Amino acid sequence: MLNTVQSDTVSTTDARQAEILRSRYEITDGDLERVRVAGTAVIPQLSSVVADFYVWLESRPEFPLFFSDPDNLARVQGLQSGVWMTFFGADLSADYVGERRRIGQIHANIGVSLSLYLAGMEQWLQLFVSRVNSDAPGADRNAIVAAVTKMMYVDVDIVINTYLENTNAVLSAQSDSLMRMSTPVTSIWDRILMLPIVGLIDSKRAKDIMSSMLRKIADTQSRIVIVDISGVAIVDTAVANHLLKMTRATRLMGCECIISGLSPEIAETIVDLGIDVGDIRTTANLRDALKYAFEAVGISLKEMP
Amino acid sequence: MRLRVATDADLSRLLFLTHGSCARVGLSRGQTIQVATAVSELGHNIMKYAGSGFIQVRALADPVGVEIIADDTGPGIENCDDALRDHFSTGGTLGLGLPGVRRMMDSFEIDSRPGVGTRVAARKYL
Amino acid sequence: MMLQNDARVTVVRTRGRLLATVQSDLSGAVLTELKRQLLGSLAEGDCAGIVVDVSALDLIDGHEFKGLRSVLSIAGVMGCPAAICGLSPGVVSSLIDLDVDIRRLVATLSVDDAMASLDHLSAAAS
Repeated sequence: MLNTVQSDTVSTTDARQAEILRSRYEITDGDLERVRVAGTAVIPQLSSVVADFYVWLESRPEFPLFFSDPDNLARVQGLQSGVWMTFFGADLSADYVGERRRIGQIHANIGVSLSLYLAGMEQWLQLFVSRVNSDAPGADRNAIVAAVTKMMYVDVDIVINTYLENTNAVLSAQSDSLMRMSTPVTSIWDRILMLPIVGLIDSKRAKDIMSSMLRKIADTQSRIVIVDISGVAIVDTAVANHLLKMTRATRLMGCECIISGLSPEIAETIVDLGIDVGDIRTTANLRDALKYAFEAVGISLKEMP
Repeated sequence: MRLRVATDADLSRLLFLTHGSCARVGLSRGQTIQVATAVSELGHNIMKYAGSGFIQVRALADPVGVEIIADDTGPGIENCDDALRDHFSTGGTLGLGLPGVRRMMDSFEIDSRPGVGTRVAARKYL
Repeated sequence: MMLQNDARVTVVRTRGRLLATVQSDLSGAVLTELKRQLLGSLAEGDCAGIVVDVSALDLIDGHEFKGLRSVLSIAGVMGCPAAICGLSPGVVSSLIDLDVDIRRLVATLSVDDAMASLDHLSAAAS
């Protein structure tokens, strides 16, 4: 999950992100210059700013969780000085975005809550502003403060996105394992297979279903596979494509795929979306599909007297 | 609730919330499926063409209903009229599904600028 | 009765039909050989069908598949129904991902099933 490899595609994304952030927060070259000017006031006092920040941080209930070890505390304080020196360099480049992302990743990984992170950033901003107001050149102070504020928003934006991506990655992994617990393809009669699908079908799941289905067809030499979708919540064009691929694949193995369980509502959305069911055999319910399947393999069902 | 949509997990979560919103508003099963299908369709478009974007699903009061707003900062659509015509596709088998979404919902607006992004707003009334 | 033997393609006449077994791959040379043997026999007349068994192949790419299809199509134009058998799950997955054209293609798992399909086709045609 923690991506520490800097690849070409990642730096291109970072470059693009830098552009987006620049325009989102309306950061001009003038702003960047003002941030550097702010730096001339703040950086000489950076160690005292950091000390002030930690006075604040110590008052937070989470403090002992992260800083019970004094060596760790000293190390982190050192790192933070470096982070803020880069900040006041005001170089909104792909590298800057990449570095901020990594910082965000670290915060997320060690379990800093988003609210603590945001409170901290607000604190840093207050400390910087007070230094700017007392020591930066008088004429431009308001504009300088505005520029520094905008750059802080940029940092916060990057870190929040990193947190969100982190959460998504965790959820994705969780839903992956949920989906892998899906129903196996079952042999319900000689040469007839059945596969009920429940829930949502995404491309990963469709791929898994496809490969297990094809393997089972080969193993059992089945002639019919009934895919029952009465438990599928939504059929949109993406899902329809997956189902279509399934029917094509089974055809290449001499097996007919019947899609059963099309409710009136689902059928209506399929028609609304303009999806052409074509030659695919479909039934409203499982019973009709079974009836067809038995006939197709040459079995007739008779009621007992 | 305006949720970021970039992965299938995002979409799953969003669809779950969509069902909730539709139920609260009192939409029928059929209407709920249409709204959810529209959300799914728009979500897939976002992921496919823009990588990521946002979808908001909210209840409407007067008249009662549900509104979907999907926006992204992706490549945008050159020609909305083309995209709204059936079977038009630049990137795959069944096209953008936009004409379908329009058919399923009661109102539909699209605003797209190439290089800037796309915004779709659609409503379903009780 | 074995008609001809080539390390890459073996053709046997069985149950009134021609069964071609491809051993190694469907490269240009193999397809040429396949055409020569199969279509040559067809030209002599009296063939109720062709089955091409590809079960020995782990890999068929889109280009090769197209080549095989065209051989079968030529046979079809010469009035001879044809079927492919033995496509493995792995091969099928890749072909589907490549979105190959499978219209009017008769495909089965086993040679027996292929023969049975050709029976159906002949019955339907008469």
